[in-house]
Amino acid sequence: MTVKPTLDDVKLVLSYTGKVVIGVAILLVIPMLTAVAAGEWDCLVYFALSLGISLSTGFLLAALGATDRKAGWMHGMVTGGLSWIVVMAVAALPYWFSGHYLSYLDAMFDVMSGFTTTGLVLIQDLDHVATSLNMWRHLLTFVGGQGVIVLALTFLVKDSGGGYKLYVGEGKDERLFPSVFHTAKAIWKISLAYLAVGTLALWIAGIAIGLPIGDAFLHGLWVYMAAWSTGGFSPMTQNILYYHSALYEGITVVFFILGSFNFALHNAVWSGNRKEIARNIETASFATTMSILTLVTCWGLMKLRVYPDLAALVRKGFYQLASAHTTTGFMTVYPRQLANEWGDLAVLAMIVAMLIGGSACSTAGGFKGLRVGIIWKALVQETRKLLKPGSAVFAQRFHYHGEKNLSESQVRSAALIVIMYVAIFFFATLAGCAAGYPFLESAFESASVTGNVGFSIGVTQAAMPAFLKIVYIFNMWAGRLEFMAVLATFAFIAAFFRRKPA
Amino acid sequence: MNNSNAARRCASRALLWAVLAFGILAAAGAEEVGAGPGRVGAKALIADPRSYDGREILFEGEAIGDPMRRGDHGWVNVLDADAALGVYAPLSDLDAMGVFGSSRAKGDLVLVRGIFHRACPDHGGDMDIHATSVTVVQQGHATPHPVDTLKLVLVPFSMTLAAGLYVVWRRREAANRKGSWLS
Amino acid sequence: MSPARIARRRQNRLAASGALIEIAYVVGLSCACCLVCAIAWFALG
Repeated sequence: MTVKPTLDDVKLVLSYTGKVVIGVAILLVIPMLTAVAAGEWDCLVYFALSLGISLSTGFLLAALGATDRKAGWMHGMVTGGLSWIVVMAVAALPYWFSGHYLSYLDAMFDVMSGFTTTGLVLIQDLDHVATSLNMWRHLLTFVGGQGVIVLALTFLVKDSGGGYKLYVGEGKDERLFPSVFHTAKAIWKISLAYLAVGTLALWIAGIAIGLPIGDAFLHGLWVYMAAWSTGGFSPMTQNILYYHSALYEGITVVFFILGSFNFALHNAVWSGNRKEIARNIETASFATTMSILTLVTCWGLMKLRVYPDLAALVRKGFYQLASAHTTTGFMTVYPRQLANEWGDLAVLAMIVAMLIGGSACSTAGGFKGLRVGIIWKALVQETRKLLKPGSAVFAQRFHYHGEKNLSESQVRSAALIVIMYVAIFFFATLAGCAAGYPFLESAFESASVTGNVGFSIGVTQAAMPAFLKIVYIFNMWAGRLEFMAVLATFAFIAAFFRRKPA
Repeated sequence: MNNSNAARRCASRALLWAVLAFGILAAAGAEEVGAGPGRVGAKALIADPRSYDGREILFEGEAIGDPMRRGDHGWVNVLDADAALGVYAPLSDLDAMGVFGSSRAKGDLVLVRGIFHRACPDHGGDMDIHATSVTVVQQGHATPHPVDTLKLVLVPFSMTLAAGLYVVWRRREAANRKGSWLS
Repeated sequence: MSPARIARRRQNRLAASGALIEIAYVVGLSCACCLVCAIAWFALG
């Protein structure tokens, strides 16, 4: 950025950030209503206090930033980056007030983990958490998956130009419809329809496996929200192992894989374009890498005779791998079992799966299948050029909502983002080693954090050093926003404070 | 006479050894007879499951969540200081538990005697304990959560502040719009 | 029935069948992976 941002630029960013904070603050009404329904008066009080403070913060930022100027790309990007940090600070208030966190940093870690649909937790005594607080936790991950920005768009931004720029700053760059409002509406329609279906399915399953009706509903709702958003939160410390049920696990698999698909794909298939689901480069890439990595994981597990029968191999091996590849983070094993029993080969397969991640413009994290597919096609193209050097330049094609030509800029953009992911992955691995954790465990946790997965091998604990928590928060944030917004934010701040040469 | 003294000394030494030997054997035997499974925590079980796999153990913790009845057996998840483990027990054992841990209550403290499985073949590879007996050591109780009066008092203040800032925001937005009309 | 309502109904039917197709795809993919597990089990067991 060569031009120094003016006060008006800062104001625009503050204004939009304020509006996003207001949108998130309004969400607090949902856990408040839950607290009333559950008779959790102490929770109602601290949620109300959080609401007051959050709204004040949002209104203050919006007031400071009040300006009649129109937003440009940079404002959208920087708001995308900055608003997540402010929201993280503000949405942590109920967590902190609940007494379930050892520090405010821990509370913010869990907020960032929820919003980025990562799923790592530092919460204490999860099995005794209030219903309304669990509602807030799972709501955060559901809304985070939808995109905090999309949420704010739905409510607050009046000029759709500024709205689109905010939306893209957030890492979702699909323009499903010309108007950003239509795009947001379409995303919400799909999500709410699946929310109804998925919650119902898990509710019934919950009753079938022995949960009382009320708890079956709540668990169903929360686990669905965590599955669709590929977040991986759960109301119990044992995560999905709590249910001891193949039926429950099976339903979660369906919804977390669906949640990892591109919203544009959902929209296409729901509008009648059925073939897209098989032809699309992302689903093809995902199906390929899932099959290969499942094989490698099974190989690693079989070598060490970890599981006694095929059913266990599927329910533990395949489940964990699918959960990792979609960057969900649901677990049916204890974190330390991955470290102690699974062996290096299976753990390595998990790391690769977590880094590749899900589809673009979805709730999933990681490099994204689209980029892996594009880079693969580019390699194929290079190989063909080498083998037939004399022939004219021919186009490499791939299917992505129609046949597309592979362009140099697409390959470059895909490769650069993958390189950035790898860079922050190594950075967090290094931080883990510096904190004293063994290499493979640091790498695993780093992949989990960078890909917004949520699997833990045992590194993420409240006792973890603060600097490592901060590194992980940074990776979750940067990974989720796919760097553009993060780079824009840093560039903006640096440019603002840079002195002009004398 | 010397011979009889020597013989007596020999006999008493032999007797001493015999008593000693008997004592040692008896003590050893007593340990085996009275020994039962050791008490293990979740941390130890998860850290080194192979050494406990298939063995009878004693596990103590709080019954949490909901008991899940399935046919003639059911599950209850039991939480100790480090982690919660799934306990698969006959319905009669589940019915004996009255209070389960949640936000409203501390669950019954239960002592589970059962076979530990690292990766249970009956239950899709789950780490679990098949209970042979479950004893409620201490009954659970309700946990009150009183309203924090300080926070309660701060609520109207924060809401008033928010309302005030809302007005400020709206005014500034209106002023800006007015400004652009005129210019 | 108004044409708008007919159009909306058609849209909803299309959406519902789309959802079913997606679910079927995912179930199919999961079964394929289970098959991979089975192959691994029998080949390496």
